[in-house]
Amino acid sequence: MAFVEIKNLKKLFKNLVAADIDHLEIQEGEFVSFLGPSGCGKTTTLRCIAGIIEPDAGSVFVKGRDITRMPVYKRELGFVFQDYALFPHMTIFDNVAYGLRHHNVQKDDLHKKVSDALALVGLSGFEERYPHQLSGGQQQRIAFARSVVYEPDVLLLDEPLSNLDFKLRKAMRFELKRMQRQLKVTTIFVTHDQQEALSLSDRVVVMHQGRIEQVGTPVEVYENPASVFVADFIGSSNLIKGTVGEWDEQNGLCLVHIPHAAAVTIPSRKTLTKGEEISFIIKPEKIELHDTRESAYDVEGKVSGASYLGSAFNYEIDIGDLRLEALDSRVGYGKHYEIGDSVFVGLSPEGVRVLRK
Amino acid sequence: MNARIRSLLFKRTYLLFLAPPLLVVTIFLIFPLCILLQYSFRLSVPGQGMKMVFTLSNYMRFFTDAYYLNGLWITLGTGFVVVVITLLFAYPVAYFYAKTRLKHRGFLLVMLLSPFYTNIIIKIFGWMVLLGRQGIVNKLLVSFQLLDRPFEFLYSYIGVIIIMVYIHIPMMTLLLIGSIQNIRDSLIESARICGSRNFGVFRDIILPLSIPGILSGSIIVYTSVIAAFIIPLMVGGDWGKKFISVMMYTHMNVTQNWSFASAIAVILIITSLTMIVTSSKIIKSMKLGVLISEKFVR
Repeated sequence: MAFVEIKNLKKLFKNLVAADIDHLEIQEGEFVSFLGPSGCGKTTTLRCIAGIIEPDAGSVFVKGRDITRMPVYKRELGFVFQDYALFPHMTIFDNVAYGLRHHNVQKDDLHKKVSDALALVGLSGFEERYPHQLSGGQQQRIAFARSVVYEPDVLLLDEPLSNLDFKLRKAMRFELKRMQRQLKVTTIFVTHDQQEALSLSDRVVVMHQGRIEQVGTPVEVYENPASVFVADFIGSSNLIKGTVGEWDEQNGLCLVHIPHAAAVTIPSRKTLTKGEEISFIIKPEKIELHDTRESAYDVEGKVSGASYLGSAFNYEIDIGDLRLEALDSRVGYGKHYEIGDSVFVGLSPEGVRVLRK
Repeated sequence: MNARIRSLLFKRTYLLFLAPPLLVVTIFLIFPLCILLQYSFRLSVPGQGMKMVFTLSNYMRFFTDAYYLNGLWITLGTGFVVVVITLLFAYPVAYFYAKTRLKHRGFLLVMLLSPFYTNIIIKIFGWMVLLGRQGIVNKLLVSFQLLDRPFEFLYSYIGVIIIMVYIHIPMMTLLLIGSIQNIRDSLIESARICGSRNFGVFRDIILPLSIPGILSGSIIVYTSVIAAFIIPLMVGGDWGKKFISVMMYTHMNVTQNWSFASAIAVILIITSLTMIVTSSKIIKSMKLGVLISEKFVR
């Protein structure tokens, strides 16, 4: 049985679907991210689980018990808010101890648990300070400590890293993962940052317009997006539309006519029929650039934009009316293309994914 | 131009902007207070006006006569009682207003402020009609058999308290709304998720975080109550005469003893200021609320 189970959860805001989740299961100890653009329903879903908002329909189960209509204080959850929500009038000790005091923890035990939690987040010795005396990153750690100290069944994180600056955010990402591993607490993490979701999660739930678009491991959703939306949202992708010209069932190869551009041969795991309209995607970093035609997959194009990103060159390449984005990480070899250069674009078979419309 | 000259110039312009209000305050507040202070050390002789002598007799008279001292305690005590009752009534209203997501919040505010649109005398007359022997309050109490016969609300202490509380509820509510609205919902939700029930959330989070509003509301209502004199004069009856403000009025207008009235005023100002300062110091030393944190930290 799943540790957390969401069934037919529905929440409307003024007749607008904010969240509509048919079914989602989360295993014990798993780190799951809800990923999507703002307004995709990820926070709404999280708040329904926490009980901050009441869903219009459906149910949420944790450890097999239905918590959908349960009062918030009975749910045994931890929640880290985007603004950390530390109690400004309490010391760090009282902040962290707050949940324990409402769980009838004895005094000796309470002190030990609070200092353990502070040690976990690396802020031992901060007991007597007040939240406003701490930096943003420290406040974030305290918010984490306060949410896990009473050993909740599920830890809910609502974009906890988004208020931190870039460097700190990256450092906290590793910290968060380390702490979650150490505690083995089942965690649901809401974010709009694909890098956060990919680097932290065991599984990623990609959401769009209130619905789940895809659930999978970070590698699955990145390498094998289930929909155009997922492909586009997770890492920029080149989305190409065309018509199936020839379908080679035996080798799983397909000749696609791209209007006003070219005909390319791509592999497909799906069975296609001649004349079918399809879309396929290829990630910018999966595009190979050659000076000359090196394989049957190569298509000739022209460089229309080039920029140096430090770790890679970013090109825009026009093939007829089609514009592709390519990322060439072979920097430092001296070889790069200029605007106007002719180049052969290799749509490498392992990088191409066919999506049906 | 070097930085020193610039900062000096800045200070000068700063003074320039401050000059008009300073002038108004000096002429209309500080100057009259000085006159008041000066009067309190003079001697008023009935029929002859004020004698230009220095005397402490006005103060001696006040502090040696139990009648006046009693009046001082009644006035200050009434201030405290009215503040507490007003808080009890205003807090739930303010909380509801601050945290409601109703569409008609603007209308609620207009309703809340509606007593401000009327003159205080009209409001008192309105209450006199309600609380009178034949008033609706007495009629209801008698018809529900809660009372055998009409109760004398008017010309009694209770009448004064009822009307004072009524007059000050909107002001207190407004000041509380501000500080309750400042409490982020995420703090309340966090406390709930940590396992705190409604009462716990109120006691641990909402109440301590609304202390700045409670404090400023209480101080304003308190000063307004101890200075109020129309209410005790109109509905206080014999009780009303025990209020310091009414005594002051009597000595000013009836017995024409301006110097004694001034001495009473000076005593009232000093005692009420001391009470306000010490009580807010005590509350701050209790380390309640955000007084030691966030905005209040220097």
